[in-house]
Amino acid sequence: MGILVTMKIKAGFREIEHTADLAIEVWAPDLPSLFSQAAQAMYTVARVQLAETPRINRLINLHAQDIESMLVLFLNELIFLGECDEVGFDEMDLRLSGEDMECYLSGADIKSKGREIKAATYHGLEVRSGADGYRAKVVFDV
Amino acid sequence: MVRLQDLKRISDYEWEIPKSFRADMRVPVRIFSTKTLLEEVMQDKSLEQAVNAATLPGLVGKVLVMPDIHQGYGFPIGGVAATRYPEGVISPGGIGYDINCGVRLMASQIELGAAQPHFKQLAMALEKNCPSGVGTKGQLRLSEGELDEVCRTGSKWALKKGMATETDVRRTEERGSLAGADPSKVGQRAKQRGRPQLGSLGAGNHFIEVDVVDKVFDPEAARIMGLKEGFLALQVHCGSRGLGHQVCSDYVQEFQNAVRKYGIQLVDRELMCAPLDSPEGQAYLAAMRCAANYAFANRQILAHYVRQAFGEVFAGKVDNWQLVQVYDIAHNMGKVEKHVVDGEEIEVCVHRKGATRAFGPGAHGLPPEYREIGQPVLVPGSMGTSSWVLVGTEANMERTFGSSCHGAGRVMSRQQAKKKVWGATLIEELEASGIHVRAGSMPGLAEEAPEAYKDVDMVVETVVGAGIANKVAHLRPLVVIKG
Repeated sequence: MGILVTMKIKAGFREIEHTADLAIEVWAPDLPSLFSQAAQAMYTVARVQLAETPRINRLINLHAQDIESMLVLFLNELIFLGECDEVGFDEMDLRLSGEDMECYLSGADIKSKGREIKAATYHGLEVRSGADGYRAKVVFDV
Repeated sequence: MVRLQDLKRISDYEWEIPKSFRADMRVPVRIFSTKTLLEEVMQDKSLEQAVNAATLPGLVGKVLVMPDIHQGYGFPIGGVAATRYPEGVISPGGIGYDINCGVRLMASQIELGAAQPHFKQLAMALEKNCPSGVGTKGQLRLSEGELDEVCRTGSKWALKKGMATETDVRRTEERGSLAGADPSKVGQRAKQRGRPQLGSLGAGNHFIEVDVVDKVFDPEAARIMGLKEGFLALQVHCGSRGLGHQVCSDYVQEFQNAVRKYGIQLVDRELMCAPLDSPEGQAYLAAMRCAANYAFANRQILAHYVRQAFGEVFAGKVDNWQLVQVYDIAHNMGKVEKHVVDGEEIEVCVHRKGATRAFGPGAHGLPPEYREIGQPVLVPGSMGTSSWVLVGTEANMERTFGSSCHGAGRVMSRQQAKKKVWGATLIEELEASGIHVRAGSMPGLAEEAPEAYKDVDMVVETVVGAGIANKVAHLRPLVVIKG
């Protein structure tokens, strides 16, 4: 009898076409990596460059009623920290438990930024799970 | 998916998606467009978004679509929807994240010939005086109390600080200050984002542009507005910066609970809304008005900096370098206004997202000098093309809740534009056609290339053909400062 092994996808993202704003598609083998990829995708489309040192660490706790809201809240939290504290993050340790998320962020001051992102929106947002992992599309207002 | 055969043709400039198109539509969608523009619109999901907007509770009349429509999030950009006040809903997504993003136009007595030798210096002076670009902060340092006052009083705060004239305030929509703004409904995070940014342009499609009035179509209206053929004019396009963006984000989040509480079914979560007479709806309205007032003050302060730049460049070189305000209008706003719907005057909350107010002659709220001609409607084109000054018509009041288009409207995504256009080449091309451009970022400039937008002249011909507005003057760009 053969054993069916489903290969998990490798985390990644791409920018997708949107007339007025910016949209990304993100995929990952598990939810924490999906969130982390969405953050990296957002920093990439915003052309964010971080300083090399000093490293900055933050802990954030979020509460949301579903996974889509959690993703929007998480990205908007990073937009807020980027705009007010001028910090960005390239390492993340996320723990999701029910409606709560604890997230250890490690990064640095933003050295330069090529684009202003106003907010992550709910438009057409859906976090889909499959045998090979998770996928999501996010539209940003720019 | 909306197809051309789903539309009912009303005239060469009007089309309708009937209420019967989808079972959940509460009102029809009326589209102001030529067939050519409509075919472009059908390349994206804008009409589907307009149909989604037509499902909101408490809508009256029709959901309206302007010829510059393009795909947004939730509502399309270039959409107008009115809900009955106070029992209808208010939707932050129907107003947008950049609350009261808008345009200001100022007229001058400076002749093109006298100004031409100084354009490079003018571009540099504008860039030096007006903070612009990604992440840029303003020059003002406000206390929390002062920020609250800006939120409460808008342009009047700038007047008190000597950064506005009485004419500026009088010639601003709602005199630059929406009543009912309550800073206690604006979250701390919104205040934290907005406090350092007052008096800054931002980035994206925001700009300061020096134009020449190159053709006047209505000499009497142009005379009243102070616009003269062959003379300079200036436009400022920006909004409520991080404060407005955060107000929208916060309330979209908060309304998640409201839609469950009030049993509202949504086809798109970005259409999140709450009844206007609910505590949640009232809180958003009060916070949104704060962001709108912040945006009025922001454009006013930038106008003050622009005047300083004009003084630095033209003092001693021309007799009169003063810039006199023509008008300042919002194009992302939710306003409680009185309109006639089905023969009855009622109070409605008009959501204009990427659409402007365009009141006709005699309408309430216009400055005395514009009561006979109607409200100036400012339609900036894409960089390197042209802009238009129109006036609202009386006939328009009942058909569109006194609204019009807000610009050219995008046809190409930013990604496509960057693939097709190279920022440095674009600067060279614009310079060759006599347009001086200063831009914060080359990729950002490429995203805003003229070919990424519809032909603004076609958009204007459509609103004029549909009887929404009349032409007053055509402006040609000379100096552009891009954020």
